[in-house]
Amino acid sequence: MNKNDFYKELFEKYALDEEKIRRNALKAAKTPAWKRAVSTHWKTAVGAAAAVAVTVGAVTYIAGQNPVIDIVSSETMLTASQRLRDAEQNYMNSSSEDESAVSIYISFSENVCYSDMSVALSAVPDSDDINVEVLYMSDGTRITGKTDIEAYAEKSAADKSIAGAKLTAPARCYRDIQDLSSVNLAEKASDILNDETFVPIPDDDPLRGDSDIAVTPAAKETPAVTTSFSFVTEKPVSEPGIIITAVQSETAETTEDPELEDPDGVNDPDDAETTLPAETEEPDIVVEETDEPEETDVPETEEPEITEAPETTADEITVAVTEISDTPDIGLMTQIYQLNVENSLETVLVGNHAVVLTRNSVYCYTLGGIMNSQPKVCEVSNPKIALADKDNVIISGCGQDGLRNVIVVLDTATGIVYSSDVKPSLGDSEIGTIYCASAEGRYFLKAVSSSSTYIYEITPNSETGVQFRPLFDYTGAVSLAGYKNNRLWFTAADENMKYSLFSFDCRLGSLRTDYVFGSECRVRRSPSFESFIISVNDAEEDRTDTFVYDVSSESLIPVQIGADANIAVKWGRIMIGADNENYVLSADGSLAVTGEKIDYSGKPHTDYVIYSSDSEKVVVSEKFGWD
Amino acid sequence: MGSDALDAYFNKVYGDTFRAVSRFVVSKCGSVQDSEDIVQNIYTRFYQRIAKKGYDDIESAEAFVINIAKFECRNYFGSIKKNSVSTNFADYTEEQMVEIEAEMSKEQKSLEDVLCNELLAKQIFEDIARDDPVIGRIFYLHFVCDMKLDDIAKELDLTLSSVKNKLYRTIERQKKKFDI
Repeated sequence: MNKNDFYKELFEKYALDEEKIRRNALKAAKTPAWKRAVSTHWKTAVGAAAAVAVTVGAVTYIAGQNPVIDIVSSETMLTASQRLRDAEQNYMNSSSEDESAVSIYISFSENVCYSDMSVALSAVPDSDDINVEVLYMSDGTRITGKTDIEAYAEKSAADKSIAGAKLTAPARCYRDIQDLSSVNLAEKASDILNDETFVPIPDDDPLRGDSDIAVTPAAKETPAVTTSFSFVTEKPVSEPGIIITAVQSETAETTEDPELEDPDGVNDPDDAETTLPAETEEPDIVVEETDEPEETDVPETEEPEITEAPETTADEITVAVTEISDTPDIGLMTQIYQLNVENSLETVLVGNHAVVLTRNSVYCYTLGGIMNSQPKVCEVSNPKIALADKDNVIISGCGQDGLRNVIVVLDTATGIVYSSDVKPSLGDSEIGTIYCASAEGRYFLKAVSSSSTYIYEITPNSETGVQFRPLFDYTGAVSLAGYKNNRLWFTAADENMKYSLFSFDCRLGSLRTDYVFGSECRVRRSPSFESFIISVNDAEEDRTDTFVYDVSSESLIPVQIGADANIAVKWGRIMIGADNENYVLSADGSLAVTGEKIDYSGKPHTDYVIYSSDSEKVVVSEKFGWD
Repeated sequence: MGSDALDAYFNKVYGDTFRAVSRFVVSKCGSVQDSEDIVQNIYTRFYQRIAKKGYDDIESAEAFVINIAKFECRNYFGSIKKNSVSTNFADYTEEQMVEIEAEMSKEQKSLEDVLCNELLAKQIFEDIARDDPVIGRIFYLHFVCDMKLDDIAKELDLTLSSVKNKLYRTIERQKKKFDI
């Protein structure tokens, strides 16, 4: 062996261990977000405990209506975050050879039945050594002792109402128990964590409810949440790159804070704006008290939005992320983050990312796991969120000519950003609205000039940028309505203001007139950009006729609903939200009330909520736990 | 999509791209040790992406993963200043360099024994990796990635002379320190 070979082998062996990296990458990718988050918090706490004085804030959730959760005095209660950190430490320190028997409290990710629990535990090596001591039920009761547990198992083996359990097991089993997919958290018993104080932590936060789902008023009748919120009051110290803020922590109270009455931001008008960017395009359409309804179009109101690029100053932006720790004196709580962005225009949460727009830049913060230190992803003048879905945030911006002809796509899964100057494709027209036919993963962009509307199919591609494919243009305004199987529906008026529903075959490039309405019509789309509602306003007769267009059957179904009803497609069925009820639509136009919760918003899923958003700060909270 | 199929695809891409990705990361980022974390993050992101969206749309996995690598490198090391070029030592002459190169090609049986001595081998590795991060990167790129020294110089924004001096100086130092 010569020295060249020696150093090659030495570095292959000790630098970038290929197998180890592969293993760890897979493990990290498959680790639930909260575990990654807790790992980061824990490492941060150990490694840099005194590095930064953190802003302290707290969001407390006291679920008076939720029997899973007991209220215990704060002196004896560990915070959720502390419990997670303790579990992390136990996990890291546990030995595979420790034979001593320990008590382990487990919280299931979601309620399980006794059979499920038994099957899950049987996957642990040496499961014969594991004994179930206590069952914690979802109604807040406990079943203690072998006899009672056996009786319960015999009687209610299939009843999915077990939220947690206390086990005794050899300490060496601890990791295996924690690694079970049905187990959200495994915690070793301690002086503080005991039978009286243990409360299961499910994977889904009651605060979340159905965050993506519009809550019907009927569902809201249960006053499930009472929150208290303490907040930043001053900024005493600052360091380059970090804004350190101090806070006056308030005592937990069960009074309602108006800011947090709607913790999911379902009815937050600011939030709604960010997820319904198209509203700016049709400014005179009023959307009333719906849970983020789809936009409504009146074609004749569409005009290209002339936006002047704002003046910029060199020091306009300071950005900082402060990870806000929990306060020890307020029951259970969560981690919240404060993003300080001066002059922010819009913020949208997608998955575990907070995308913040300022006048000249786009920032993307990764929340929960590894906080990114360089959140600025690109510079673009006067950015606007054109579409935010589960995969991409598409942002339009202004080019050097002041026209909105720059497009930025942020792939939130990978963090890849690619921007394109699409002026060569758009000419003098400007980017208007972007729609996503989510079922087929296809994107359509409407560009408008002073006289015409241009429709493109766009394909965000992380390797080649955004690809444009022109579909058609129309002299006049167009409202895209829906898409399915290569057919794109839209309404438009001719020169005599006679409205029609057209469909364009994207494969063949042919146009078809499906219905002629004559009178002015408005369109409300489903979030998945499939079926849609058309309201035809007959001014002479002073009446409005409403139809649902079912793209599957390509039929227009007359329905007796208001023009502001919402529409969504769920499990292949058309769902209508109107008059504070949700309905399933039949082919004959009849409506049957359903108790299902329906998402009419198309809001991308996220595990976080924005509590406050203004030009100075955005506070984002993780929704794991029930804090 | 089945987890097995996903893992199989991931493992294939990993095997096919690891060398290129690690070369990219080592050449862009601070040190060999840092690079390990970054490479792991890259493949974690990649797995999460294909788990979430599938991989049918990925034409070139290597280009795709390198794109993620660009993001990761910018994300974590954007704020780090470029490594300064330290020239604390007198430069070798061309003749001296040729001599060292020739010596490196000579067979040395004892080197195999050193590699078998895990403690010593690790010590030698860490002696390089912990000294000047740039030196560790030069070693990795040259010996593991088989990059030529002038290519490394371009990649690291150094002069060829500087790269050679760092490399040979370290080898000479190790020769005395570890008797190899």
